[in-house]
Amino acid sequence: MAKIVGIDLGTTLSEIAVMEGGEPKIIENREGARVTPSVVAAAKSGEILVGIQAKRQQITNPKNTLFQVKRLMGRRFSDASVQQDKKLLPYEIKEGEDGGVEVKMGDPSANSGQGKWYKPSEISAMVLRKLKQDAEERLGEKITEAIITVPAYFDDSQRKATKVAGEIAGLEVKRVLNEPTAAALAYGLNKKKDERIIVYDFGGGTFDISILEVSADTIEVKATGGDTHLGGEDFDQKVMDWLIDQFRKDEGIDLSKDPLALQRLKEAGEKAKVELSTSLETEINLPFITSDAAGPKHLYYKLTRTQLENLVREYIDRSIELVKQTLQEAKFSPQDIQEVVLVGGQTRMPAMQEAVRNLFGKEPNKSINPDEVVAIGAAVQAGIMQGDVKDVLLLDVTPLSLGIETLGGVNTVLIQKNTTVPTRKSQVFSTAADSQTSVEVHVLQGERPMAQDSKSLGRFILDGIPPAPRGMPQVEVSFDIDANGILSVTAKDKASGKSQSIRIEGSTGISAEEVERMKKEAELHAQEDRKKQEMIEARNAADAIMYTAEKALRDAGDKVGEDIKKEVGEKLEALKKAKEGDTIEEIKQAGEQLSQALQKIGAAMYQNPPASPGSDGPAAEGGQEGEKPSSNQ
Amino acid sequence: MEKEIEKIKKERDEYLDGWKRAKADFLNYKKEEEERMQATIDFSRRCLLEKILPILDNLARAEKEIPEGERENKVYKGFLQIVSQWQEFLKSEGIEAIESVGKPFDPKIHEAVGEVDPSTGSGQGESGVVAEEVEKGYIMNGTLIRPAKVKVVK
Repeated sequence: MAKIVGIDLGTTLSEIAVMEGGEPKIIENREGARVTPSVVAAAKSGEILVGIQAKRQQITNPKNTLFQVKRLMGRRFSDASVQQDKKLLPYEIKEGEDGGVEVKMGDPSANSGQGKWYKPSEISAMVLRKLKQDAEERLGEKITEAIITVPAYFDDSQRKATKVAGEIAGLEVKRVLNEPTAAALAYGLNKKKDERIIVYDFGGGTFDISILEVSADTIEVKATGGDTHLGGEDFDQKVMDWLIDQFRKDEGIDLSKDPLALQRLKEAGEKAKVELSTSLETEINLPFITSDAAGPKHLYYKLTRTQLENLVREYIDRSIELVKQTLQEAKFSPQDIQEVVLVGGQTRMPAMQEAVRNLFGKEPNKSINPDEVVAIGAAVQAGIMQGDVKDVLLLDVTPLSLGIETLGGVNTVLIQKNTTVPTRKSQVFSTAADSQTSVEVHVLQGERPMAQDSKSLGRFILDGIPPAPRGMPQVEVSFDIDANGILSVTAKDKASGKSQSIRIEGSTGISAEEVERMKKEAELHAQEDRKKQEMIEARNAADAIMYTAEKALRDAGDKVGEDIKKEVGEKLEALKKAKEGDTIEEIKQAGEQLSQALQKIGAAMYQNPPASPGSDGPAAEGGQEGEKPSSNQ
Repeated sequence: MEKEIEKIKKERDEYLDGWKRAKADFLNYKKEEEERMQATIDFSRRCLLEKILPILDNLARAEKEIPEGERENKVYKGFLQIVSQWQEFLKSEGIEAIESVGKPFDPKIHEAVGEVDPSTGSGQGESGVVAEEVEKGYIMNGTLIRPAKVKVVK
């Protein structure tokens, strides 16, 4: 069955998403971008351009580059908003025969000589067709059905125009979905019965408020509000004006007259704004911004988050005023609202989130990318219609990590927490001492790096391992969790084929509170745990060098001078002593000194090669720090 | 009894089908994941480059400001060597600068930031041709990292 896609047909940007493997996913366009500018142009060459390419040539071709056509969709020419937009938009707009709006763009068939008049639906259809074709290319299958979103305040004629645009683009529009409803669906809020949701959508150029009510099987729009000419771009402008002001004060030069400088200021201003959502201060560094008789001039300012907040405070306050107004009109108070959803890139700004949080006294939903949440929600709706979003098979996950205790009391994790079950993982371990004939497998659960701090689930012994130097035997430990959460742990000696196992029932049966407690503890102890683990690692590394050193001394025989042997012996003793102490640095230092001394043995043996090749060669190589003895077979 | 068997058979077929599907889904997922991984590597490289390029733009701006006849000055010479070092680095990473000036404007690789009157200095040439490059554009292995910002002859 062909997939139904979800499309957010925006005023400035559009996105397309699809359900894949039960998860909604944004589909990239041919240019590799997740968003496509809602811009269409008839290029001078006669070609019709859509998206970023149309935007790139806008300056050279303003009369034939159509953007923000969404503002005109399904409207009558006589509408006040059309008359207002007509003044702001650089392309030609006229009244159609049916009283609707028509826009002019160079006719490609006439090689852009004369223009052709289009209905806004036809222009939006070109954007939709690009989204559809690019998505078909990505998915490798035809797309024929779509859900397209519109603002909640769109009237019947605007919705119809959107549907027509879809049909012109070759899409059967299964539903015209409200943007705020889509955002609520993306967060799964349709399951919250009898709740009221407010969607605060602060886009690039428009600000929309919607109040939704979830009942048995529908999401109903109770009220809408906002400002069609308030958005993130106003914030960019404020930063830009501030930079121009500062520069005028400091250098006496007016950058607003210099188009190239303005271009750089605009980009830098937007970048600074974005950065201040995550950091408290940013620098705006534009060397060679302009020049005068005295030579080049550089612009360098620091902007803090607080400064930015002061610059744009009026816009945030205004948006909150509008929210209050919308609530009042719908006869709700902030306490009547159970969920708040943030949409639009500008809502990443901490001050804006805080203003919303303060008004409603609750944390807003903001975990989904606010630029994509509407398209994601449209895809979720498509999934519901296709039956993809049924809980067909609920797969459980392990709430805590599972592992075994290894040398030095370390909890070595085999199955990470949040792994979907059923699952199976295995890892090969070895012995810690020479001629060790048995290993104990101690099964652990928890996030702490040390065995003693983890929960013990059980232990067993695998014996009958043929005696061999440490590190040689290969014991494979396998963890297997079935769909019911029952854990089986098996240890198998690869040489003898002997194996031993244990079955632990209800390994995922720890109560939710216990899981939380263990997770919290893990975070709390993270630092001290790391120290402990470092200590153990240092001791283990020391062990390995000591082992190598002892072996090298034994193997060296008379090929190495007594003085070198004596030095190695002394360093060995020093390391043993350091190992018993509890200073990581001392152990590391002693280890390093020993390994340096060991290199002398290696060097000496090369200078006095044995008479017959092949006798005990590898011993000298063992001088490398940390190198584990390994099988030569 | 027969009914029971019939029902169980049906269930078995359903389960088997579901299991096969899950297995196939997983294999397909693995394949896609490999592609995704490569795409992620490319993406992270591109992101890093996008951050480095503005620094290079400023080096280019600085280079333009070196007074005529001063290029042999030792300090400037050292600076120019650093610029060339950067260009070599880009080349070694498979990143090519887009040639723009004198070529017809192409929105696939150019972004127009202004127009130039045909009668003035840099505006020599036919209408629709790139007259001036304001910021270099780059291509990596055939994909555009950033379009060149250009001024076009009116």
